[in-house]
Amino acid sequence: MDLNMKPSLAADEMFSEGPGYMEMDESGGATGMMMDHLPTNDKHVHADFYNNFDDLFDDDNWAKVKQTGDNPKQ
Amino acid sequence: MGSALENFVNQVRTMSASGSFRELADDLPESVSLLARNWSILDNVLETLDVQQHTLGVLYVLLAKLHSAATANPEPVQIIQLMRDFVHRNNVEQLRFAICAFYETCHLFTDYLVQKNLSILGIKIMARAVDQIRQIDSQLTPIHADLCLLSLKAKNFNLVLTYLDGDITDISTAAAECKTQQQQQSQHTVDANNDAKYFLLFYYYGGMIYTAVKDYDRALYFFEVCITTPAMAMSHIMLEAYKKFLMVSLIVEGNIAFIPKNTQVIGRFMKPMASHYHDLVNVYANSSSEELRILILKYSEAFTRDSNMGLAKQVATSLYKRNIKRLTKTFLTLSLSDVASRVQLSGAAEAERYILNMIKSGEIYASINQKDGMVLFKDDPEKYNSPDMFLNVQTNITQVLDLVKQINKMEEEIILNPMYVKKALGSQEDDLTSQHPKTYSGDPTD
Amino acid sequence: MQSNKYNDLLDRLENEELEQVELGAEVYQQLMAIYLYQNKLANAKLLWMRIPDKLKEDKELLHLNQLNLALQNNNFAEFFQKIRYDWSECVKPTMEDLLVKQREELFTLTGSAYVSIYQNNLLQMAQMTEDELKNAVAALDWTREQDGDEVIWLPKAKETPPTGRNDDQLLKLTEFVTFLEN
Repeated sequence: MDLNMKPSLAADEMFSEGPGYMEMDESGGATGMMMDHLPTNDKHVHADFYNNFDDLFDDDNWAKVKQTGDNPKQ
Repeated sequence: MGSALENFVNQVRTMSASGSFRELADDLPESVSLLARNWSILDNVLETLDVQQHTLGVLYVLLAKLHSAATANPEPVQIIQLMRDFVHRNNVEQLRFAICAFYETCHLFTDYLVQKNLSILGIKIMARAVDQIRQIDSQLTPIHADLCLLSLKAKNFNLVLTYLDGDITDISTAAAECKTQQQQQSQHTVDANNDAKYFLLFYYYGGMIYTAVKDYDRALYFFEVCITTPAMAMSHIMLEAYKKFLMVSLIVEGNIAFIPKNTQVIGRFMKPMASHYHDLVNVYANSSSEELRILILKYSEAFTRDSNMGLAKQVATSLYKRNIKRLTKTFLTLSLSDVASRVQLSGAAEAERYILNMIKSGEIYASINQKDGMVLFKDDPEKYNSPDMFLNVQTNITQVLDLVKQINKMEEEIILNPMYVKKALGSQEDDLTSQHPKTYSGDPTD
Repeated sequence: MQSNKYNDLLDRLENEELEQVELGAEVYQQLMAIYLYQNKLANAKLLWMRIPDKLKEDKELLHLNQLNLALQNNNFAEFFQKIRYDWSECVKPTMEDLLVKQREELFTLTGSAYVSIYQNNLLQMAQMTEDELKNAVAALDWTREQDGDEVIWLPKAKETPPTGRNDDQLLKLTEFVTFLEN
């Protein structure tokens, strides 16, 4: 996207892509570019996030599901 | 109590008494390792401090206790009681000087409960922590994700849903809080990474919670926020959210819901890693329940590994229903066995069961005639002339008007932001040098 | 309606569940009964999933969950069969209310979803005797027909009762028009 071509600039266009986001220093103003802070040399992040849940969406077999018991964090 | 610990207690007491909370908050991070080393006597330290008067001191003792939990192996009941007591009796004014430490304490506490399989006991404590620390009800904090995680592990959503139902207009991040608390740059980067993580987790876990209570519209919205967060790298949280987004999309809309185009991460990283799910979307589009069933069977191992098998089965059910709904648009009346063969159900009895359930849930309007084995499809009887419908429309109008107000307010804030003005004017100057002046017109804030 | 009849008790029980470690079967029994009565089926499913394994052997809880399953699967026959049980005092009143409510639901649904329905099917769904059924449908003014050897019922479509809140409606409409004009 070429920002220069735009006669008027909307906020979301400024945040939309590429490096060179602007920093909003006010507390709470950082919504638009949270992930921009991530180190750019990593292609994948958050591989270790907690995602060990029983299948909560099964409408057929839920009555038989046993508790998974102690789940040490992966 | 060792002299180093005595110094700690004295420092906390003196500085709290003189109201030097800012200085105390700046000094305390250095004491964490000292406290954690002395885990065996931290309870003695706690006895000398008062939660209300020495909130910061107690907070750091709790933090150290949680840091050393693996070694110290404390009684879970004691830790839970300490946290419960802390969130109910602390002094929030003091707490605000150490928001990052408070967030960290909450994260560690959550991890601890999940490990001990006692998540359900943390739900109220973490809800109370959120209430305390957020500045306004619509502010998202990093510990919202903890509340969601505990609720998911406990499979108990009554309380967390009241936090998920409201709209978010503001975000508290550890990066912003620590910056104001003058911490080091390296710490800042770590926090910023975690901020993104907890933001994404809130929307991912929230989407899962809404999916579990079958509020699919809201679930879709939560997954959408997660996967459309501007990013330079692919987060695995986004990837898992993307898989569920595709499946919930099929249930709600029958195809992939609209995704804003500024999300290159999806195309570049996530699509190739979610190919099974894209196959599911493609086969769904053929409207053949039989093909879909075969595909789900083929990929059942992958779906089960992702804990998405239940959702896959719901996708399959939704295709039967969607196909029946399609029939109501083409036919006025059909025999039940005709319905069964057209949507690939096992027979007239199964078709009747599906139709009855869909009438019950208001998905279709029809009546079944058992005498001749026919079903008569009808139009939606809603005439939009009832007081209830009026109330419904009115509520929607009010919501939209409130939303417009909120957007106007936020736009005004951005327009008045000096950084924005500078950037906006800056690119205009670029325009002036690189383009013909007439390619732009009017006020940039127009 | 009375579906908020158990709300206070429900609040207390839900709270108890969030604060205590070793709950007895009774809290879960009551929670399950109320969720079923209030038709909060997603809650009922999740409740069963989180009940500790050793309590899942509790006879009454098991039986309550069979009702839960029947309702989740829209299986009326199974439901009316399983609700006949010697319930303990703590859930008995809720079960009685639930039975009344589901009977009503059955006849409302079949009344709107069927132009005609065989008596045998209806007996099976409602788990009633012929006489009980006759009384129930007589009150609803359904028509009886003979189809060979079988009896078939033609439900009477229910009129939606007019809601008499016209003044209120007019007031709100006026407010809205005023808003639009300004």
